[in-house]
Amino acid sequence: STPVAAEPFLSGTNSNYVEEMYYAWLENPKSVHKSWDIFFRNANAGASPGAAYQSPPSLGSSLSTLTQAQSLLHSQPNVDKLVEDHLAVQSLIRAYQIRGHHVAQLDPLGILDADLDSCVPADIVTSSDKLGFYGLQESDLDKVFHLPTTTFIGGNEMALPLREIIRRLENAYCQHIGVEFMFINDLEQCQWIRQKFEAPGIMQFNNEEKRTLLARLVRSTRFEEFLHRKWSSEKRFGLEGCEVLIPALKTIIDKSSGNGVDYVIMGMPHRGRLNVLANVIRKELEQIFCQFDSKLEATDEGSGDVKYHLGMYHRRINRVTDRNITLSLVANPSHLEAADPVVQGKTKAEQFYCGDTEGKKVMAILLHGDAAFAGQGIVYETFHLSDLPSHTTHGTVHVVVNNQIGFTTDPRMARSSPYPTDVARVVNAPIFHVNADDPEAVMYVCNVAAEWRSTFHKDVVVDLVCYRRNGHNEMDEPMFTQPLMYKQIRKQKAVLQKYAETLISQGVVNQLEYEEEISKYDKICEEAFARSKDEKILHIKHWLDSPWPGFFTLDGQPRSMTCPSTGLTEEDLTHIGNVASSVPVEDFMIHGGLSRILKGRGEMVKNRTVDWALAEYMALGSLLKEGIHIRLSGQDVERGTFSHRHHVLHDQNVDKRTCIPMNHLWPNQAPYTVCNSSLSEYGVLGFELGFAMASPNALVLWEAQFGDFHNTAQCIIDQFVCPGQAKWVRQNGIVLLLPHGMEGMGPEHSSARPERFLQMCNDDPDVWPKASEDFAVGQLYDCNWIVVNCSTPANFFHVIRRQILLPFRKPLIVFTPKSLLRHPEARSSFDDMLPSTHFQRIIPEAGPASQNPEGVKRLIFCTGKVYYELTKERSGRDMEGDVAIARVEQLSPFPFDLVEKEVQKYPNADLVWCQEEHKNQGYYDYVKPRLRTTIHRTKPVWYAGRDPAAAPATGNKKTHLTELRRFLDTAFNLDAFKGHF
Amino acid sequence: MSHLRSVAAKLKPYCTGLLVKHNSILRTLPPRCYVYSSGAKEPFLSGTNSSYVEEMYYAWLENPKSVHKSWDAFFRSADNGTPQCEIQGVPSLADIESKLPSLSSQGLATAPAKAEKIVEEHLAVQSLIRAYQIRGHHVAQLDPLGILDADLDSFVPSDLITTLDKLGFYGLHEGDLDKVFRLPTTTYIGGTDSTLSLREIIRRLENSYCQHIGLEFMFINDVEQCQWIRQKFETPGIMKFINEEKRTLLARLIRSTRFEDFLARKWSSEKRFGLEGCEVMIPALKAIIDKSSEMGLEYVILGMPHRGRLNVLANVIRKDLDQIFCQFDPKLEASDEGSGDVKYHLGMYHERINRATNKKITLSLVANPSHLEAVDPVVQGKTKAEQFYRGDTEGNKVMSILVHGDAAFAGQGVVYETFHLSDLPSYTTNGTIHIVVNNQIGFTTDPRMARSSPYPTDVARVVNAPIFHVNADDPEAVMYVCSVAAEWRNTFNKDVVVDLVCYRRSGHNEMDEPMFTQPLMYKQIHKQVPVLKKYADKMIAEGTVTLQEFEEEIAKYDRICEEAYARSKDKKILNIKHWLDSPWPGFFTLDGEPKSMTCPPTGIPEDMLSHIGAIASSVPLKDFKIHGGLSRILKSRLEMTNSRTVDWALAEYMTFGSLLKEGIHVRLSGQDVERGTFSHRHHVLHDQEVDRWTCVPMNHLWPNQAPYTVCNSSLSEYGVLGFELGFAMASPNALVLWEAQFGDFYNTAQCIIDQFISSGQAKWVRHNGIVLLLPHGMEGMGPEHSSARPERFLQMSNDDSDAYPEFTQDFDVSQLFDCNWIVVNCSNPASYFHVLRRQILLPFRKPLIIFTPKSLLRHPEAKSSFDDMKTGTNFQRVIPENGAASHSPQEVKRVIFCTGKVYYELVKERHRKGLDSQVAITRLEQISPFPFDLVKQEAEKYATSELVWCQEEHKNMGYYDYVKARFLTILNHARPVWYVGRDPAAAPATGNKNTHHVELRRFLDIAFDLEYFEGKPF
Repeated sequence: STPVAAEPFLSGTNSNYVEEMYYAWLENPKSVHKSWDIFFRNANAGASPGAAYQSPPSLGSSLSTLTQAQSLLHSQPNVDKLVEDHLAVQSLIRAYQIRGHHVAQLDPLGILDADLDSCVPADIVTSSDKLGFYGLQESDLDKVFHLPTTTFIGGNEMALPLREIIRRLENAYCQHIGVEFMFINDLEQCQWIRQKFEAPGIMQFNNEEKRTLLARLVRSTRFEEFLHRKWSSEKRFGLEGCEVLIPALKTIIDKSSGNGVDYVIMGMPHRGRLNVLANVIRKELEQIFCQFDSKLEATDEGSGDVKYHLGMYHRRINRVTDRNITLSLVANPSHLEAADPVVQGKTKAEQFYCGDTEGKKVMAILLHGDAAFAGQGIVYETFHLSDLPSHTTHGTVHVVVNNQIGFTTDPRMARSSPYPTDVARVVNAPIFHVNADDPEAVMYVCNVAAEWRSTFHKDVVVDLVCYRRNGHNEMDEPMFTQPLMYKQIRKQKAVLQKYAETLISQGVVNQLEYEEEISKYDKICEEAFARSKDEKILHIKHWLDSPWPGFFTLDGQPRSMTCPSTGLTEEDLTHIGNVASSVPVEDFMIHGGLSRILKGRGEMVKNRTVDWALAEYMALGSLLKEGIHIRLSGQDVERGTFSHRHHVLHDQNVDKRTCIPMNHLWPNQAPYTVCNSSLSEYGVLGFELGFAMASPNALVLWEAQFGDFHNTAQCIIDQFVCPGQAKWVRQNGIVLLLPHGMEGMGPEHSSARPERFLQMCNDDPDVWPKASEDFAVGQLYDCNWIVVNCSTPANFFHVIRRQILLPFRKPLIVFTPKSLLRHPEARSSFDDMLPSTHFQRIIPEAGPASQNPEGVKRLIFCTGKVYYELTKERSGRDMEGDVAIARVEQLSPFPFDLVEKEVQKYPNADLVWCQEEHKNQGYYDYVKPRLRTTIHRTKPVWYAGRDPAAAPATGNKKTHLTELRRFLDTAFNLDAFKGHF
Repeated sequence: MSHLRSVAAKLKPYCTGLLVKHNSILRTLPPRCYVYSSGAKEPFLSGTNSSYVEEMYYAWLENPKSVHKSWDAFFRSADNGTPQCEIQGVPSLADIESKLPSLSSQGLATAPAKAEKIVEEHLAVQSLIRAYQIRGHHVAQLDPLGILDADLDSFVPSDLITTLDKLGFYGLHEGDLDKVFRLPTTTYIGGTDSTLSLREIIRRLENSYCQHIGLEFMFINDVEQCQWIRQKFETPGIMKFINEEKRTLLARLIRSTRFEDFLARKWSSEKRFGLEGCEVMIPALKAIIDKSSEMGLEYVILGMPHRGRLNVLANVIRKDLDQIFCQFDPKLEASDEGSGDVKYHLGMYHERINRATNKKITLSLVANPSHLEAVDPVVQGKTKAEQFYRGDTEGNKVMSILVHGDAAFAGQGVVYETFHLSDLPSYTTNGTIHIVVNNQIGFTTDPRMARSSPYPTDVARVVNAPIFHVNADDPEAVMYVCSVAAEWRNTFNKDVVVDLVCYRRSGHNEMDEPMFTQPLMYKQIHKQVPVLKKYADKMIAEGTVTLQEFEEEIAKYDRICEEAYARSKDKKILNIKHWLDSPWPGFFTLDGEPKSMTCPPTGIPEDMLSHIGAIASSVPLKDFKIHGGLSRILKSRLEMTNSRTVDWALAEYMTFGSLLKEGIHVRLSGQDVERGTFSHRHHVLHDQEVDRWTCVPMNHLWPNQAPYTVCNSSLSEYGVLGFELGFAMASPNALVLWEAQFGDFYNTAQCIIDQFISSGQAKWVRHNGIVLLLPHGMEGMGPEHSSARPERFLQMSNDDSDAYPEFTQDFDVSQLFDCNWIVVNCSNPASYFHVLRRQILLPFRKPLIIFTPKSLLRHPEAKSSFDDMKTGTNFQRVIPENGAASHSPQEVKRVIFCTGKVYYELVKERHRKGLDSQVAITRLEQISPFPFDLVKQEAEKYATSELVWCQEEHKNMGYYDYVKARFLTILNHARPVWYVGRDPAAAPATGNKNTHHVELRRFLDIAFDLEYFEGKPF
């Protein structure tokens, strides 16, 4: 027979087919058709290529027929190819969905890459030769492909030609909007986003909307220009280059208002802040302008802050939705992003107080700069709060003002991920990048973001890719470090002008209307400017972000200057004690060890005593009765770091069944929130501070796992807690519980660094405060915070209750004990907590020494735990008549009056300050000059304590004990200071 | 939801069984051509053969000649309705049609409906494969306890085939399981096969993605990297271990487990933060180190929290066991090297031979505080430095491993900051391997209260690092994952995360009761068989080891422990020096002491000054076009050089330039440091025409000079300061400076300052010469941007305010040697020049805190002459009054002591008031350690004058509290020191310009009101 040209069908795509046939034949020759059986038989017999084939006898077809069939098979669009092409198109669509943003035209300047990656993904078809990546070619462009279910580009059509598929994908993903969402692990959410961006023609605006947008751009732009004209050499951190931020925010607010939100809380850095105040919050312009006057005097409300840090609160009608809306911009320091958790906390509180459990009424908007968003860890900590049961605000809209530079630093030196926004991937929040020079695209994206938030109640990020027309501030020269970028910026037409030209050419507005709009706003500014000249005094009160109407008088003053007794009736004490010792839910099985603890509590109640945990129970429980919401947050606070609190009981048999007895105290009581936080301090303390801002009628406590951890939240303490009222006239009653005490646990877990808190107190060591009627309350009113170290449970109980019964709010720093929690001496009787008892700022000596004060040789002042070590040592040495020991419970404001009394009582005693902390730590530096002032510098104040040190404590147990022994010896060696000054 | 999940989990084995039913057949036979031609009733139309016939049929429909004649005949007769029995082996079309959708095609013009169906099914299978790659980890069995969900998400993704009915998601059904599909190019499950049956596809995907390893990598924006990972986990049979490897693994597990057992036995009531529940971490770390060593790595730097730390020290780093055991003795005395630290915080450095590769390897575990994750950037900085000094630009020789706890990894912002350093040119360590000890609990807190993302590891998604979750009770899976992680790091030089999903057998520490808060979890834990026992049983069952061998191995290690324990009894003194993570041999004597206690003069020859000045005023590159404004700046520098003066920026240039000549590497890092926050430095020039063309003149100073690194950092303080501290740890022969944008920003890095800088030497006997440059000064800029809070640094200085010093010969140097850090506020450029040079010329290293000026950078008076910097000159700790007042000290009514910028305001005011001879003004340049000797001299010189401390800061801030006590000590409390300055305040400065000026005026008035303090008590 004629040899076939080397059995061509054995090569190429068919070899597989034949191979498979061959294996089948090997297994069972009868499993293949006879024609193949013969073929394989021959091949196995060693026939040469081209000779192996014999026509099957039964059918007798000719060899030429077969080859013909074979070649036809090649020319036909066979199914394999069809499958491959469809797989390719599905991959292609997916590639656009995943990576389209990489080639989107996001940078208005067109020179830098908004995403740092200059590479174009291989699987995006930016030129027709890239079809080859998918095994497709130009000729396939007109083939029609069935669309997979994961795309909406077809609209009503099920199939589209490849050319059209690519065109529509480019439209959806590679224009002025770059969408990052495919990392989200939720199909429904992905589909929702695809639909929003892929559906053909979805991005249309009507003329009305376009005109509103233009008007808003006019305001945003002309506001900065006005400031620039009037105060050309003043720093104002203008918005130039991102003027679109104003309409963007307004769009989000409009849309959210339409969806039912009536309170928006915002946080933002300095850039564009004045503009937001003027045009979003609608602060009166003259109030803003007057701040540029360097001669403007401040009222004596506090030290104040610069104009681009102040906050604001305003309630008005949203013009678009005709609904009431309240806007609040939270004051913030120059520490970028530090306000993030504060805004979240305030938002959570507002939601909580209006029963908005799903975040339908109150929402937060956070603005970020690109560099800080990528650089600051607090951003990450805040994101990780976003979905925790007790910290979620049910979705935040994040807007990044991405001017592609941080001060003078290039993005590629500022972050290790393509965009500044990648942190949002951590919580599966979608990220919408948009070219800020396309205002309509920005509006669309903002609309979608607001809808996303109201649909899924999750975070979303809008990345406004823009530029910064000036330097970091208006005085700075950016050309030194970014010459080419700024050359381009100089050429860049302002967005207002660009957009106005577009609308005029579209006939949406005419030139005249446009110019009128401008002059109208300019006139508003000029008039306000004229009025601003009359302002001579700056009232920081007008810049308050969280007013507490009802709590203060109309002038914002406290309603009284006294504090009622913080005691409680015996009945209430007993009732709370009983609940604290019980399990108020039926069939609830608790751990045996816990039963013992509860039993112990029950016995204490019977004996009318309390330990630390029970005193806390009394304080919190009684306030709940009075309608005060209590929120205790921090790491492991539910049980307590030292396993003493147990505010949440866990059923030992049923998973996740818990019981909080504190919520079973009274009918109609206020709710008690106790929540273990994430392992963050900066974020969580900021959050709780924000929570405490919202209302004076709540006791918000943050407890550190150990006191030393507070320093990772140092910024919140330095920038908010300590100076918050001075800078922003904003009171805050947050309580910090900081476990503290030298117990041989090493350099960590020992010290809450009281010295640092005391150093930051604003009282003058050399000045006796003005004697007033209520000295104690007056002092509290003047201070910036209260620092206490309680030595008894009763005093802890009182100071916590006083925090709420005071007619004003101050932060309270409490150094809380560790070993005292279980110390048998550290108990208090009900008698110390009954009505008419109150917080003792000093606990004077009450033992034998106080009976015969003249005979006392030494008066030791101390605070906290060391008291118990001192009394033990004193009794060990049998010196109870020689040495008096007085405890300073409130360190700051310093109880001058009571200390004086105590000193005068013991005229023949020398004065010693004793502390277990090292000399440069603890209280000594704070107490000493104040003690000296108290006694009019008539006597020295001796020091007994550890030597100065770099670390808060030794890591060696033995050294710890040696040090303790040494300073106790000094404290009771009545000759220790002889001959010294 | 958890209920749903457990139902699904129960169903899984069952449905897996369904899917693999035909395994044996499928494996031996390529299924696609399973064609029968016997007379039996066309069995091939059912099951596996249908697709073959279908394809043939459609090809025939297209063109009858495209198929073999036998098929043509077959189809033809079928079409004609010929009874099927008439043609042997040919089915009826009715049968076929009944299996297929209608032929009428709607959408596809070019392909018939059947083809469409095939297309759809292939699209579906491609989606299915992708679904497993993306979401397979959600159903992987990651939790050894089997009760919680390692990923918090209790739901099972709808697109994974956990039960057969879920095929419907793809429009497939059970009948399709035996159909054969062409595999897309994005999978390796086929091995050498390019097609597989659907059943086998699902089985293999389950094997790769849903067993004990859960992979997250599909978010990575790089196709090559994704393919690499797929290949490592999808390729059939890739996860095999040989017996030798298994035995090594078992031996390591024994050490890990028995070490904790031993400690528990000997010290049952001591905290040790044992590894129980994650014993596999030891072999895991060793696997990574072995693999990395094999690929050429010489130095591994580790950072880790307390849990399992002693075990790592003993079994990974190989610290002598007796050294560890002796620390449990409460009577052990500390040598007087410092305050020391608890045993589970100390660091370690060890050089040894890696047994697996027989190569030398150095291991260093960095000491750390209890602030979790704070050590991350420190480890990275040290790693970068070690790479830098070895010229290891690609990280092929040195790498870091960071161990994390699950709660801290999700909670602490510094983790994020550290990740964002990972790919910055001056901060990258070319990839870090992160190990998460994920015990699914943080102290007492449940994961769902601790994080808002499914896993604790999602932060790695930010930098596109792959995440490998693995069930820690499957030691072989752990080993495999670790070796892939090491290979990944070696291949792509990027970060990678291994998430060891384990449990914590005890409470947070050994004394803690976890049942109070996690009762059910701990009930399960109490039932849990330890991993060593599980694995040993398996090995014995497999015959890899015998029971006897296993027991011998245990006994052997127990004996080692016992012997070490006996030796540890002899230890009486703890030498923290033995726990040093970064020794500096060569710099210290063999005892670790400084080689001298003197400091040479810090001045330099005039020609060096001129040379550096000339370079600082020039552009050393040709055709390099700089900005006009910058040209003016350079020109003025040249003029200064010519007139033998320097301003602040030029003095800094002189310092760095001269040290570079001496071979000292200088690294300046911080936000915008290249130009300087105040646009005064300009260490990097930018060509105005060519993009990204820059020039660093400092690197053009001398032949063979040391390199100068100046780098703008990310907008982080905590991370970056930690990094620079780590960098400075590596070598004493480098000047590492971190500059804050404004001084007040340092407080976000407070933890690094408190836990490392201030107390580092006391705790860990580790010297560190890092320099903090903190812009500070009250200039009416508001409460921020004004204060670097000097008071806080001074408060943390460890010198005793009341101790009258002994004035020894080298008082100034020994004072420096005793202090924990040096705090200075220079009032002129020469002073700044000297103090920076002294930092390197000292025979030891101390952190240096400098409050740097803002307005003084451009103040015409704040300039220094070359004369103050020449050879033989020195840092002046105090600059005494040297004007009119100093000539007749007895006439001086008042001596004002001050520091920094306020000096210029005081001098100006004094001049204005004509009090030049009545008021002396003396500047403290070094505030801590306090220059007792010089202050004493000055006070004695003006024996009859009133002494005043003047500062512009508020009274509770600045320097007053620190200096006052020390003044009184040196004056024997015989004379008062009056305070002049702002009143105490809560905020560091007012926000109101007007108030600022009023305050300034007020205290200047008091400073020169010579009657003001008369009659006041002191």
